[in-house]
Amino acid sequence: MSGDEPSTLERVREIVARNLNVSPSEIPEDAPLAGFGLDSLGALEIAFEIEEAFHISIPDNRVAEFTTLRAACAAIDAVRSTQAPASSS
Amino acid sequence: MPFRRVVVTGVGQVSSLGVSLGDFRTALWRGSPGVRRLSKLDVPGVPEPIGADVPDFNPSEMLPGKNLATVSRGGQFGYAAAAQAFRMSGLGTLDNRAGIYVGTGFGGIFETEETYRACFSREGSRPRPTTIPTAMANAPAGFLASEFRLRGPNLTFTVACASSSHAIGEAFRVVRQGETDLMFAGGVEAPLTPIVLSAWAAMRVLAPAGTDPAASCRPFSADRKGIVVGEGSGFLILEELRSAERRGASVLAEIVGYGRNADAGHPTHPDPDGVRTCLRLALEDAGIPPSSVGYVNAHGTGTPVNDLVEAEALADVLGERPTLLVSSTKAAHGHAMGASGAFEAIATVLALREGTAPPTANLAEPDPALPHLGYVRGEPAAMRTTCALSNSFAFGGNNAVLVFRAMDPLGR
Repeated sequence: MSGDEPSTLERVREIVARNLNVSPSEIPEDAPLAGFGLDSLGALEIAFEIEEAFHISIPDNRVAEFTTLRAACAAIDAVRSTQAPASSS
Repeated sequence: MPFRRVVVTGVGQVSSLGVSLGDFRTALWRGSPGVRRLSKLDVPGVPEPIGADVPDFNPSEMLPGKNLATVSRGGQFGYAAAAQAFRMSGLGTLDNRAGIYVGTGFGGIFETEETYRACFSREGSRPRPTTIPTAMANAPAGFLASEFRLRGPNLTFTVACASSSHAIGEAFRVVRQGETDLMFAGGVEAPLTPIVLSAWAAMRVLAPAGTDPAASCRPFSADRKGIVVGEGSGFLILEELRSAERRGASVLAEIVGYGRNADAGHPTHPDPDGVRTCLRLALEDAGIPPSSVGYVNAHGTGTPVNDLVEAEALADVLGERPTLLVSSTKAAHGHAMGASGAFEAIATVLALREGTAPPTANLAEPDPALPHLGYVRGEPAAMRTTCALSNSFAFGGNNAVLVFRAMDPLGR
């Protein structure tokens, strides 16, 4: 793959926006995602897609931290720091 | 206490004929099928699959800001249909007793099959968190209750091809008996998946594609060879007459009877006696004589057996007469399983409102082996009486017949 890799924030923003059925540019980093209709089931779906995309396993208690894009990225970074990425094949 | 009268004040649908009621009405009355090749589907054992799929369906546009991963395909169809019906009804805020009954034959088969395919085709794959809440059969009923704030009776009827006819009939009884003044009633189905189509093919009941898929389903023709599977949703708003009058609603038709019974016999072969009995139960419930029925929207699947058994039962119970108009709209919207009854109930309501019965698409000459009834072909036919039936006879031997009556302008 050539070119710059998208940042964690960009990747998460794309996943969250697709799930919430809004444009990525509509979600500021610190905007509460609940304001875009995110509920507990939606958060699980987003966590699932992030696990698949980043090859990590997000503990149950971390899913509740997905309240804003910034908070979600912090949670993901924290998880990544403790987990070796799984095979991406 | 006498029964209360129940009327239809809104209808809506999404089907292979389009995503508006106008599309549906235009195609049905022209006898123009929405049956196409399904070139994107790889169906085991069916080299050229065809179906009645919903065209130009854009749920993102319809439900902006809604997390669509949490809404089943059936639920998305259902929302589109129910929203049309709700708009047509002119209703505003609903009281806490308003409810919804939904019919579906296969429930969340679309989501189930997609999950199985993903999990069994790639090592390490796992189900999405939304698999259970979208695949459960009552997912659309729950979603629609939430969207329209329907806090009253909420049940899902899974009765194969008669599912939504039973949902409508049961909702009719709930309103008639006074439990609530308002019910949404209809059906949803999203069965156009590789394995479902392949399984229907294994039963040897699918109409062959031929050179023109639109001509494949041919109810009541001598050369009929089977069904075409469809998808979509239809909903009706059923309302107690006085309640509708008080708010000045425009009434489309009255629902006056519902028959239901079981063949208690073969799982797939209809029993003539079961079908006849169900027709009689419906007439008895409506309190009308056979002679007052002017139109039957038949189950009319286009299989050799169904159409023969159904036509003979109609002749036995309603009389073998050319004044009894009969048509099957399945040739146009396909056999959408649990949604079919709702499509056909809507077609029946429109027929009563307009005073004309839609033709059976692809019917040039009725099968001479069938009894002599007024099979509508080519052009719509004028109706001479004000009562009409909508039939559904399901695998499992479950029968449902709905009776509708035209309303005069004063709603009497």
